[in-house]
Amino acid sequence: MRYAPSQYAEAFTAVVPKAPASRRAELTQRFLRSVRKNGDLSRIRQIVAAIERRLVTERGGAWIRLEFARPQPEHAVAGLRGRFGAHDHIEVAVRPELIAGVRITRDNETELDYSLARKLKKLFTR
Amino acid sequence: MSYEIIEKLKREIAGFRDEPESERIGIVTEAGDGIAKIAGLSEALSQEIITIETSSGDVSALAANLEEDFIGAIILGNADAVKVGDRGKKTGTVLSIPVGRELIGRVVDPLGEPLDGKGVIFENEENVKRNRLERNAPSVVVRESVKIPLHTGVKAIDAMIPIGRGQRELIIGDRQTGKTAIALDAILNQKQDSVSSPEASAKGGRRRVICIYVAIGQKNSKVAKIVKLLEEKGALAYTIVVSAPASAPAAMQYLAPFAGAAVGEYFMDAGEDALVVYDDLSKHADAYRELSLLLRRPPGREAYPGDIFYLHSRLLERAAKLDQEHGGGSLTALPIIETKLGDVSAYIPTNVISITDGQIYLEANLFFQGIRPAVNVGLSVSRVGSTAQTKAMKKVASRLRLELAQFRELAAFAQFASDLDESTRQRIRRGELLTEILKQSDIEPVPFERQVVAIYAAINGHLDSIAVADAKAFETKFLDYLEKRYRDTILKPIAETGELAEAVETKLKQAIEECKQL
Repeated sequence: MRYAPSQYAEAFTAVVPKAPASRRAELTQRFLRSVRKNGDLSRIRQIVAAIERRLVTERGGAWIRLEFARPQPEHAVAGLRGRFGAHDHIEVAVRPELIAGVRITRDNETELDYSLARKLKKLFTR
Repeated sequence: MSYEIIEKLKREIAGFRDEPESERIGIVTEAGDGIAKIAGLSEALSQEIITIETSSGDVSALAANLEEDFIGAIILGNADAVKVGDRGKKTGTVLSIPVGRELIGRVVDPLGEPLDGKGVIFENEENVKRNRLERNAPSVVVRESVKIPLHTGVKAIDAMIPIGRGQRELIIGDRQTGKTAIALDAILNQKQDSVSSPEASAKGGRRRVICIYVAIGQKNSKVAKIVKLLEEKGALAYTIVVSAPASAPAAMQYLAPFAGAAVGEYFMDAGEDALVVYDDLSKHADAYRELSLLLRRPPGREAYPGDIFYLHSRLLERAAKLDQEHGGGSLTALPIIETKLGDVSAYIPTNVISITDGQIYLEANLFFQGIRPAVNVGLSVSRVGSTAQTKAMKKVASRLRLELAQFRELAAFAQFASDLDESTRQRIRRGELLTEILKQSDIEPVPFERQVVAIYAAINGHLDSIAVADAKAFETKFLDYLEKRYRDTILKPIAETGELAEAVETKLKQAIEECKQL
């Protein structure tokens, strides 16, 4: 049976964060060994991403993605970061196809699109 | 002029208000082979249309698998444009096709887009009615029993395996045995089969049937040939072709019969009669198997998914004859199944045999013996039976099946017997004569009244004095003779009333004797 990244994440978060700090490195190594044994090392990026997401969710935070059309000055991004909760995970990306504005995605499920690309699309499909 | 345009554009832009709202989205995590895996969209509905925003425009997809963390979607548009990271959005609608009388004479794909290069189908697409591709079959309460015949123009079928309006009759056989030819004959025959008088029509007589030919996984050249034939024979005036050729993605081939059913239902709901030919459901099952395996659904027998029976049963259950309260329309289905080396016990053939109300079994051996259409009368059956026959046909053909069965038995027995008594020889000769009369060329459907008189002459022994080799020539001569001398007194009354009255029968006997003297 092939395990899904979410199943690896569930197993990892159920054991490693709750273990004493001295044992975490050893448990992580054992976890990686079992991933390799199952032939899933090629999916390690997805597994790590799933673990990160799970840890954020367990802390009560949300996975926030901020997308801008151009690189933004640090103070502007920091201003936006400040509007989210302490437990939220914020990632910033540059997507030139947005033309201008910002697009905010929460947990890969909900989106708030303030980009010019969306406005133009809406204008032309009216 | 340009100033006016710019001003108009300015006004449009000035009037544009856009308040971004929070939207539910999904992210494409895998894409390939016409399938996309979309993470998120947890509130998507089964069979809902998802719009995937790609760098080269929006692409539609159909939500097929709803799983815990993602959905498996069948891409309906340009699958190559969909990339990992693209966003998918719910539309809240399920797949539908625009329907209307404008579709008649057109060739469309399963999404209703024209394929014949004759331009747009609907002038004002916004006001066009749309029928869902997936719809529940009419319930028992709104149905009526099948009793009005749908003549195919094939003597062997109309006489022994009658098809009624609202019935589902399977056409099954190996490749190159004439399955499509029978379906095309049925379509072509509708031109000459409707009763002309409005009184007969009002009494529930045979009305003009709108035909839908659904080509699934066929060669483009074959579809083009069929469209050309229908056009030449004037049948495109009441026919719609839904085509998902072999070059189309598996998703289109999977949707094609449902699109055909949706179009047929439009006419049924409008109180009209429609005939839909699914050519063929073996390829449809193959397309669905391909999609199911790509969607990682567990394979079952012959690697088909577990719901392959339900797929075909829910499609064919949509064929119905509605009662008068619901318009009295009907949808007749002629699914086609291709067998491999005559194996009717394979998975898909047995499934569809059990779903339909009978089958027309075509045999390669008969085809190569020159018996065309190569219908195996012993294995073919119509569960509706003579209820869906006119009185005239019932009168002449009631003994036909028995006579032929006895003939086959005696003919097999006679191979080993050196000396036969007179009555046995007579039966064998009659059987040979009947077999000869039932032969006909493809794409030449015989009008119902001509079938009645030809079978009448053969089964009542009027042709016993004619050599078997000359039977076909006599039939042609006799039908020509009737057309010239007895059109109004024999052929027309049979066609109009559907009965073989005593007076007409007397005249018919007289005409046969006259013709034999010629």
